[in-house]
Amino acid sequence: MKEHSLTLGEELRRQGISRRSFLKFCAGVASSMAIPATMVPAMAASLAQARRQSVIWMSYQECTACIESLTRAFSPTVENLIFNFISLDFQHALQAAAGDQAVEALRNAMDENWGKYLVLVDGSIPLKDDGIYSTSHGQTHLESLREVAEGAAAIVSIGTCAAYGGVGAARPNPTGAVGVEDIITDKPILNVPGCPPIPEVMTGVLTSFLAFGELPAVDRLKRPSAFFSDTIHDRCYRRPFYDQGKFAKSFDDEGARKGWCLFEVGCKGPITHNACATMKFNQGVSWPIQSGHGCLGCSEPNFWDKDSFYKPLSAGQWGSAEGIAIAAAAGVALGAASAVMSRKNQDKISGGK
Amino acid sequence: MSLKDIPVHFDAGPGPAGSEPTGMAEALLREVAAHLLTVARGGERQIVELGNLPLSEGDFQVLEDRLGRGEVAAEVSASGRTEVHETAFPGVWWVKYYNAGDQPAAQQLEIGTVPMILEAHPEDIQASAERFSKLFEEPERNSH
Repeated sequence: MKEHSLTLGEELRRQGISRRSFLKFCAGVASSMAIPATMVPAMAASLAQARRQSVIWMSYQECTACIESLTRAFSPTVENLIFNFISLDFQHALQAAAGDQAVEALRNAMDENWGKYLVLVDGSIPLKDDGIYSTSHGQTHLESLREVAEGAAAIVSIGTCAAYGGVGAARPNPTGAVGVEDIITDKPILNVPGCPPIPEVMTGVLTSFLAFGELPAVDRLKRPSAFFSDTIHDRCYRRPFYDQGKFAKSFDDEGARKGWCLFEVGCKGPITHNACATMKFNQGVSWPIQSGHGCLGCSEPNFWDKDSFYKPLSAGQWGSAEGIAIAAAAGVALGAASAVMSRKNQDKISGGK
Repeated sequence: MSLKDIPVHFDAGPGPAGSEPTGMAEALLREVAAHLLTVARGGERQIVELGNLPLSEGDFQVLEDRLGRGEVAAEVSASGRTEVHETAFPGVWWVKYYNAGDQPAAQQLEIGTVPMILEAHPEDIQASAERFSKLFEEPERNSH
């Protein structure tokens, strides 16, 4: 545990990493979170004074895609510096230890950092029949979550399942699955939904927790506002086609081949809040709409049960007042101006909270 | 056999890598102009993150053409490359960050006297001052 006594600045210097790398990292995180650039030096200085954060990552009723997304995309980007900033003390799929040894590692990490560790959760938690449908080491995940949460400084729910129940909670929800916030009510909770979530968002959340000592500002669904205040539609590169009224009508027509707007083939971009449109996946390679498929709305609660993925918003259950208002606004030439405006809004939101 | 041998032609159309300018560059230039005024009046450094905006290749071309190239070009090696050049407008810098795998990590227009990444950090200067004296105290150890 000696390494925990060094500040992050000392730790980096010991490894021969210059402050330029540190500044580069902070500049990247700050810009992704719309933190004003003028705050970058202060952020870097504050981060340099912080100590390695103990992180305990619990996986419950999940499919491992969240881990795939987060671990694969960290390397070899600048963001892999984040692994110098945290001490991942428990993650049952990634650690070498198994069985009793793994559980012992968890208990030790909890004891040593009681009240200070950060808990990451992926997967939903079954409630039905006292939670017996999902267990590890003879303990239901319901019991496990309550126990680990008790000593946590804060909890981050990774992925739509841990945040809102997700696929596990889809109709008919045989296990009575719910998200973390339906069980734990006395701890700060932040949701990073998405199926899977975007890794850079986790980097941003962890960094701001370390630099500022608290979780970043969140919206009404407890998502970090810096990444979730805009809709996919706000930032979509196909938005100019929407504004021009050019739509793909099926997946192999002229419009689809020309990369026109996917609204009419069911894209949920206008009512889905997430950052895929700019951050993309797999180190910026692509994202669903760039691959020619409409947004499924995977970062919104109950996305799985909200009617067909291929029905236009104006025709489905998603087409609430919000969806219909957006459909009615088609053809208004906002394009570039709206993207710049939404960027400004984001600055305002992150600065104001 | 490679993909080229399959007789299907994929027409990507004007996708994200499309060459058509969308008008975004014009809007951005106005934002840069406002920042440049702020800095010219003695205000703090400003940064415009380009990676967060839905810019097409055409938009980047417009930006590059309009901003031009100035007197300074520099490369930094720290956790991967960083390319910096001054545009034809002193005080407006184009900064491109690459990760350790040499893939683009972030791209910013930085408006100020000198980009942050070029400045030596006080902590590093401190460590360097301590190390420097060894140059003449123990010359043989530092000759490698």
